[in-house]
Amino acid sequence: MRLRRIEATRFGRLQDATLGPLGDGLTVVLGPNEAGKSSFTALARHLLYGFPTEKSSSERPYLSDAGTREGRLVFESAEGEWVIERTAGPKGGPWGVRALRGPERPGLVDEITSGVSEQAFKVVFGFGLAEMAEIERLRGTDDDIIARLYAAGAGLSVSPQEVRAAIEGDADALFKKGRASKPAINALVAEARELRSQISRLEHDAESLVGDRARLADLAAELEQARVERDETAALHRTLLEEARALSDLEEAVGAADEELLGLRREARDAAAALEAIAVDEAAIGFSADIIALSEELSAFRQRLEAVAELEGRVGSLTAESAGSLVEAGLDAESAAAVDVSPETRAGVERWRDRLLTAEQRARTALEEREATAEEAQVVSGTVGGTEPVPASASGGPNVLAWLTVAAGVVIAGIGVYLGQWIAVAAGVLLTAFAAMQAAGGRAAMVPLTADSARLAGRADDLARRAEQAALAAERIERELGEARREWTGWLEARGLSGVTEPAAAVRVLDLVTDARRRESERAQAAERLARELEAVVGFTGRVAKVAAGLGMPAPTDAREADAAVVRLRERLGEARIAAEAADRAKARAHTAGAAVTDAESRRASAATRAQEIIERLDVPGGLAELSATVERAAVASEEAQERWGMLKSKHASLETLVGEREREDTMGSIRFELVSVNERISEHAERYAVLSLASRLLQRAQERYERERQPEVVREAERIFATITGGGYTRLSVPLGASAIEVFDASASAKDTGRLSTGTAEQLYLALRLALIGQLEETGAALPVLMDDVLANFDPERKAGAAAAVAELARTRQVVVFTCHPETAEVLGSAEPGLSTLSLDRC
Amino acid sequence: MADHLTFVHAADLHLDTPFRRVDAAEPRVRDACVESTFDAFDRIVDVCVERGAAFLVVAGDAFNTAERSFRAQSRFRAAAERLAETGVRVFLAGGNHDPASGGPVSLEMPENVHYFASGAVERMAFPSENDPSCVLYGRSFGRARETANLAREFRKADGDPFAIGVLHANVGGNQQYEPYAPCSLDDLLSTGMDYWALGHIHQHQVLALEPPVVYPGSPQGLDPNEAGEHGCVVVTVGSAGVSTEFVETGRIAWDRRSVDLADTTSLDDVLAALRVCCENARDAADGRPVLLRIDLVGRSEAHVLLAHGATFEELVAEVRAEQLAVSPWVWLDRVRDLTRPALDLDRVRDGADFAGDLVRIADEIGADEAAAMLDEVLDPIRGAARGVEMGFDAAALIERARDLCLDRLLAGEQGR
Repeated sequence: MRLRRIEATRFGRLQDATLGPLGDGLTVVLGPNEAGKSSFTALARHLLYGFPTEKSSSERPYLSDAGTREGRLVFESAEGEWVIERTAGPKGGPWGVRALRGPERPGLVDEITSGVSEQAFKVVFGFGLAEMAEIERLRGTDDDIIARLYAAGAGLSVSPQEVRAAIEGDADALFKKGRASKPAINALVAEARELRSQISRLEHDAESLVGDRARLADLAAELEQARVERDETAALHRTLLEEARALSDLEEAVGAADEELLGLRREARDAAAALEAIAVDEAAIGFSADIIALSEELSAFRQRLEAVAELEGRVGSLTAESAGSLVEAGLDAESAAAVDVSPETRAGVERWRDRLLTAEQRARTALEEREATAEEAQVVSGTVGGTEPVPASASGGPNVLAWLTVAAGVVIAGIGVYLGQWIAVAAGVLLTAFAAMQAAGGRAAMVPLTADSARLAGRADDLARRAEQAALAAERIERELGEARREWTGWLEARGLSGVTEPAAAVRVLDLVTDARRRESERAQAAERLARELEAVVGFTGRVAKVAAGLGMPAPTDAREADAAVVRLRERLGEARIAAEAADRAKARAHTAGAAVTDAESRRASAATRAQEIIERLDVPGGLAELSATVERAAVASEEAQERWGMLKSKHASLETLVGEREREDTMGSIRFELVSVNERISEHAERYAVLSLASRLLQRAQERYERERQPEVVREAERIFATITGGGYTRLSVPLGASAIEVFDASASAKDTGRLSTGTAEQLYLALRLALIGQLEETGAALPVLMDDVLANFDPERKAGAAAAVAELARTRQVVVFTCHPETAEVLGSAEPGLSTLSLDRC
Repeated sequence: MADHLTFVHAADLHLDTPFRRVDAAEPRVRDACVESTFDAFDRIVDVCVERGAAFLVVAGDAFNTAERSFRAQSRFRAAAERLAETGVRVFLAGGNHDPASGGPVSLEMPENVHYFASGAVERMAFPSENDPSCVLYGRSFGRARETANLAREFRKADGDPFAIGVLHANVGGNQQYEPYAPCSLDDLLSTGMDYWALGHIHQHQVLALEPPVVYPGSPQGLDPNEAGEHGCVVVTVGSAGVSTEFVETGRIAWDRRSVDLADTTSLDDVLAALRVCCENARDAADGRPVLLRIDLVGRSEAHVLLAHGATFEELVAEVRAEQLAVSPWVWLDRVRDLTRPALDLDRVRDGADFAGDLVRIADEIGADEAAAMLDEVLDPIRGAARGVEMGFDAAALIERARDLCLDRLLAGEQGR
């Protein structure tokens, strides 16, 4: 496959420019300066590897004023023709492969550039004078073109040198000698060192713990001793303190007892004096029971006196009332005593009243019949003979009743006057007056008569008969009434009721007599009670008098004085009692004081004895003062022992805590385990490091062998080409893979490095290296053309001819395009390769 | 022969001793590991109580006295007090980690605890000299590096009832353990003991049956090499003879597995394989947490993917976090990528190119030269990190170095 055309749509100064057709072998492109020779060289590379952006590349970007950079490469083989198109843009710009003829080959770019990086292309395939020295400058770096191409030529995808460098980089990332801290193993070693240090500290702690435990045991014994001492001194202090307090209390008790005795004795004396000063009324005390009894009965006595007065009044009043009743009844005591006031008598009176009333009614009826008949007969007769008034009543009954009423009114009035009851008097007068008016009125009413002459005459006769009959009946009934009244009177007399005519009066007399008898009975009862009360009063008064006499006090002469006498007796008794009580109190006080004195004397003696015992037991003849000083010393000793114990206790507790914590220490296990982990990591990393380091050594050995046994093929080819170009001036090269320097040897075997070569000779060396490398690449980059941009410019004619021969030789196996602005160069190349293609470029 | 006697035989408690060769950055895992020796011992105490043991025999290395752990002794004391409550006595023989000369760091133990003397074999009648149902002969190490054959000092006295020998010793010269108190099985059998309660070897072993000569093993595995069951032995003595029963007490299981990634082509495949490996380890641990080490092996296309250090570490971190979140947890202590590139090494070796040179150069390096190269590489680290275990297989590392170079040279690896 060969590159046929390079088409610049827009690229720098090139616009719609085409370079081609390029020959299969050597093509010389002759053009003046600014004809675009360098632009086509750069364009070919950018179309394959991508356009650089203005900012991303340090090389010239070949921007176009006409627009976005764009171009095409046309490749051709026996199978077809393809165009690779690319437009500038991100990531090198979009590109594509299009078949102009033959099958599509979308992977064409990768096929063409396989094994050849852009840098390698720039340095080895498409280079100008500016890139000539790059082939040496980049040696020993990641862009060691020789190494890369050599690796490709050796069937490797990467340079052994690069692999070795990467492996050593990996190894360095794991471990570096010295004090590096970043590599993994170095960091782990530092970590392990720190962990060991921690473990060492913990082990030291553990070892020191043995001593601490021994100290703890000693301290425990010391603490126990201190505790015993503390307890003993504290106990002694407490004992002495208690003894001192006891002694103090006892001495205080003695003093207090002394003071108390003074007071008590004074009290006893005072009590005795007070007792003597009190005079007790023993006589009154002796009658105290009588006086108390009289006092207790005094209230009853007073009531009794009141009852006597009341009973006396009542007896008098009942006597008068009884007499009044008898007077009203018109009876003396003797007659009254004969009156039968039994219920039978009263029932008899009732019966008699009914009988008499009935008889009187019959009499009145008969009389009225007689008078009515007579009156009617008179009227009828009057009618017959004129009228004549007839009295309305001719019986005379109402007048009798009226008169009886008058009599009753008079009696009532009289009784009222007798008893002084004016209401009764008034009632009697009114009754009398009313009854008198009735008696008088009964005569005034008259009945008028009428007459019928015929009938009336007959009627008058009849009436006259009837009046006669009525008169007869009336007389008979009047007689019967008279008999009844007599019988009634006899009946009354038989019952002591002489002088009474009417049943009502009889009833009244019975009532009065009954009342009189009741009052008399009451009076008798009151009199009897009065007698008893008087007897009691007299008895009480007598007792009072007896007591008063016994006490030499005035005796009451009557009942009324008895009350005051009792009061006086009571007062005297009260005074006597007060005095007696005061005497008792004084006596008790004296007794108590005496007992207290005895007790206080006993206590004082006891306290004094016990105090002396303490003084003797503790051997402190100085007493409390000396004992207090001893207590003070004991207190100081106890405090010191306590303080010492506290200090030891605190120390023991701290050490015990420390020992306990260390005994329970679980950090060491974790740290040891962590150290194991770190060591294991170191081991793993060391194994990887070993593999990497051994790999580096293997690579080194392989490189050495390869350089020794196989690299000379390339070097010899370069030597041959260089010798050809220089006309045998230089016969040998040294191009070690791992070194950056290239040395040349002249015919005298003198070595020179490139820095000591002339520019032209150095460029000839670089060209020889490129031609040798490319010649050894075989299939690598087989379709890539070698584009040389006036690289022979600095060669002298002789060496230019030699270089042209070498280029022509390469062109027999590779497509080579030589750009030049020197016609003589074109001629030299034409001489070297007569079948070359020639193209011309005009200045843009 | 005692009518009936039950006792528990334990050894190598190594209380509060840190695990070895483990990298547990996770606090939860670290705390569990730190507590595991205590937890295992607590389980032994439980066994004593549950089985009605008359006494507990600890045949050495109850503590690592060099580590000055009071906590270990404090916890032991607490356990002994708990045993005292149920009348269980404790007989201790010192081993190389807790010899009599181990230092004065010791707490007073309850009265039910008895340390065997270190100067000579000590005879203890149980329960009393007047009426013993058995006797115990024991001897503690006087110093850590005890190289004398202490077994020869043991001899059952005439008239002794059932006799128990208690000794921390390397019987038969076990190369994996320090040769302390070395003796042979015949030495032990010739003493006339009826039961040998041994300590020192951390794996449970029964060296003889008549009479039983037993290593109970450590109650808890302490490093990746101590995978498998760990516990104590319940010994029952009766008229029918002596029977032993091993009781598991380990609280955390160790496991190491290899995962062949030959058939994997992607990181997802690797992830799945790691998960399956973790689940298998969890299933095998019978409900206990697991400290798991995995080696990824095999020629695999995933090798190139894993060769990216960051990718591999992220992958491991993801699985580690997942497995830690499950109960019981599985802690990926270490995952090594020992996979090989998926290329025909012979073909590369035959090539007349750089890679062929490299393979041939690696092949040409002999064991001594590899060891020298490794020492040259590691000596600076060893100087800086003293005490870190770096007993790597030099030849294997040369191979890994070779593969690393080929990975990067041939697989398009850009060295980053």
